[in-house]
Amino acid sequence: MTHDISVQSIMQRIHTRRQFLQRSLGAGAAVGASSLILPRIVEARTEGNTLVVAHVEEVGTLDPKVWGGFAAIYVQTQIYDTLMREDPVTGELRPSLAVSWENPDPLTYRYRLREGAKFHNGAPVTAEDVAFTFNRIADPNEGAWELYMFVNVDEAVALDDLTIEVRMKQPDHQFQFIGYFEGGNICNKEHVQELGDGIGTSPVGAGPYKFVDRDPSRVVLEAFEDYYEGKPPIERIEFRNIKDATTIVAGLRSGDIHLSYDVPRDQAIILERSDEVNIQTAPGWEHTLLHMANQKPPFNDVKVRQAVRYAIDPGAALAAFSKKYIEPAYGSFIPPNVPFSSHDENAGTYAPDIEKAKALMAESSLPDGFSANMAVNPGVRYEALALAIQQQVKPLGIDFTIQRLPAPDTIALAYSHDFDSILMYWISDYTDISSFLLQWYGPNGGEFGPNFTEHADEEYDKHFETSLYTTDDAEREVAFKECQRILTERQPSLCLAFPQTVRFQSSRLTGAQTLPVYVYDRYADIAFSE
Amino acid sequence: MIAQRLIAFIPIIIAVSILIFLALRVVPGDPVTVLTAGSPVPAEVKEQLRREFDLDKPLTVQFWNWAKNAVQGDFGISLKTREPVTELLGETLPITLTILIGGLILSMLISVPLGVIAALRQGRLSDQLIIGATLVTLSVPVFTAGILAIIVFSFWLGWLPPFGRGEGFGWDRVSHLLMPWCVLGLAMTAAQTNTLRAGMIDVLNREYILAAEARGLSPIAVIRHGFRTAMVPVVNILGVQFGYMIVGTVLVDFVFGMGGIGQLLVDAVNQRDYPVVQAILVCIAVAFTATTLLVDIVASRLDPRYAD
Repeated sequence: MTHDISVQSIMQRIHTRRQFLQRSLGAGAAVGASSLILPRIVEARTEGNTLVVAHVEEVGTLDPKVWGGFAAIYVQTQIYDTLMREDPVTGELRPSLAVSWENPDPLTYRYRLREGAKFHNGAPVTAEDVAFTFNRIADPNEGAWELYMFVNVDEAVALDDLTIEVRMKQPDHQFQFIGYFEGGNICNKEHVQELGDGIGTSPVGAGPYKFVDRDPSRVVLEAFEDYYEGKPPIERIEFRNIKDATTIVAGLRSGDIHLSYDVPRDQAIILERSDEVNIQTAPGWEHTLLHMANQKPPFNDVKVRQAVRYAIDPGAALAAFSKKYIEPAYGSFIPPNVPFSSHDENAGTYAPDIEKAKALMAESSLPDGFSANMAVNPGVRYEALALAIQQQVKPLGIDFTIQRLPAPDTIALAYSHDFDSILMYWISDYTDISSFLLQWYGPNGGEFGPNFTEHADEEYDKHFETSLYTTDDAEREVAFKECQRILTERQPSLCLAFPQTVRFQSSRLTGAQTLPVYVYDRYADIAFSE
Repeated sequence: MIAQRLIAFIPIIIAVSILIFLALRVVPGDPVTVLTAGSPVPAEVKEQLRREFDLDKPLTVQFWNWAKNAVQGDFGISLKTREPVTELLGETLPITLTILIGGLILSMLISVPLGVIAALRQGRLSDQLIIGATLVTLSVPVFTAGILAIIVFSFWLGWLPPFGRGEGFGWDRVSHLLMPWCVLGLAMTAAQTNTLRAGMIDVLNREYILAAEARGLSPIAVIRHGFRTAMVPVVNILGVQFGYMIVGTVLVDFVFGMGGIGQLLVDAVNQRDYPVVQAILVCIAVAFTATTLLVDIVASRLDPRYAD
């Protein structure tokens, strides 16, 4: 290569560098300009009166008769209206579609509807619609998941345009809660007769928001102008199916998501520091349980179950979580805020005591210990509890193998009764203590209640039945206290913690308080503060 | 040759359908129990659901009924949402294809120039930088890259929406797709860049290229000559990467909540929604087989020796 050529190539390089500089400046200007333009576009995107609710679970069918998952229930709460609703503070039943109700005798429930309520298709809400809705669920051929709440319904009859009478086969205290339970979502008779199961994808209710559209990424609702309490302040709601909780946390902080229940509690601390996010809590109607198979070894021996209970310290396991979100339990089965709860009497029964645990194991049918399987619901708190339990019971010679499962599988496994032990949750379907206690009712599954552990205790069943078939509160109280005493004593499952209901929402939102059973939260009272 | 390959498709798809059908039934968990879970459901309700969805029939009858309808484009009803599966596919496939194709185009736009530059500057700093950078994109899992992108571009800079699929054909749609495209595209860049680089280096040292250079062909023309041959392994690797890309779109869907087939598949597998899982997996199998065929056709066009 000659010297000349080198000079030439240097000149070329200079030329190229100049071009490079020019191009770089051009590109820089473009990026600068775009950084000016882009935020404007983003502002336009977040404008408007739209509430974005994010959830991890897919929204299933929106037909109240069919189980579509928890996310489907809180979408339905906005679309459909119920006869009554729950007071967020006192938990009492308040008028909604019904203005008054009575229970003239133990076999009759009578409701009077308000005048002027309309369905989204313009039809008035009549007693005929309510009777049709109830009879549809009570008919065993319809296969409704809420049938267990309607087993004692003989028939629902429209007495006139606005009065419904529900006649029972036998007294049933639980039925009063149908007023705001998902099974009590009132459907339009004509619409259901026309579409059948098709209402699951094209629902019509009398609630504050009407259904507009759905695809696998979202469900869109719009404010209903003719809602009897007036058009709700928020114009449009988008329920977004986002599988990744980190995206939800980022979305809440950036203001792209306004409300979510699905933030893992270990990430809540990030949001606690954020000015954009407001964290609402309510006493939860939920408990965390280690269910154990009561009919087969090793957990058919009550002493083994009690020994395990004494060995476990859920407080140590949950030390990483704020007590604001989850409270460890040491013997009580029912959260303290639930009426008729014996929480205070039973709370300290099983203070961790490894010596007592060892003594009970020595007296049990398996003094040398055993190996067992523990299926675990997904989630950080279940993981923390499972690992702690595994370590804490080791001194008793118990070797737990942890089996991690997706959420639907944990529940399915619980229903199959084919497990040694299973760590999961239970959220009350309605705000009555019976919704917790029915988990241990009925031998071999029973026709009513899941009885995951196959708990068979005649005394328990007798008290639970008393509570079901009486409308006398004093009698119910005795029955419920007895049920709780038996649970604490015999430990068919171990109750480990009481999680709170936690709602993460934009600090721009005003108006509403989360309910203990969050799936019944109504967004009609929420508004943006600006 | 294409006709022959197309005929060979049919038994492959039938075999795959049977395999998927059986595999789903072998996986523990009963759809009816999963679907009714969360509530105390009477046994009669479960029986009713089993009858409704043919689950009470023998496997052979279930498969025959499914296959008969599937041939006519009817994949049944989703157990979870009670929507026709064909409709669900209609809502999810377009967005997934948009992510896939966009990611593919982007990865090619990045990897082709980088591969060529790295080959021409073999052993120099720019070559090492390119290899290093592509290795970084290869080493970061798609979901980590996705979350990082959301933090940077949605949360810090506020430029792009963190989730959703957008509407229409304008900026709203593109702004929702940019991060998924980049995340998926970058993840695929490494293999393509390095394959192209190796191919180019190999080709540039071949005698016909040296001969062309010696005859005074311009460097651009020489590169163009070599590029054609060097692209053959890249096209082949694209076929293999297609499978990886499907996993990638599932993860991209997962992070960005796009509502594509990935998200649908994850939900359906969790819920044991047999008709949906079956339909998606068969679609993926068809797409995979079709891509292999397409790759062979393109490769034979680029280098006629592949036609044999």
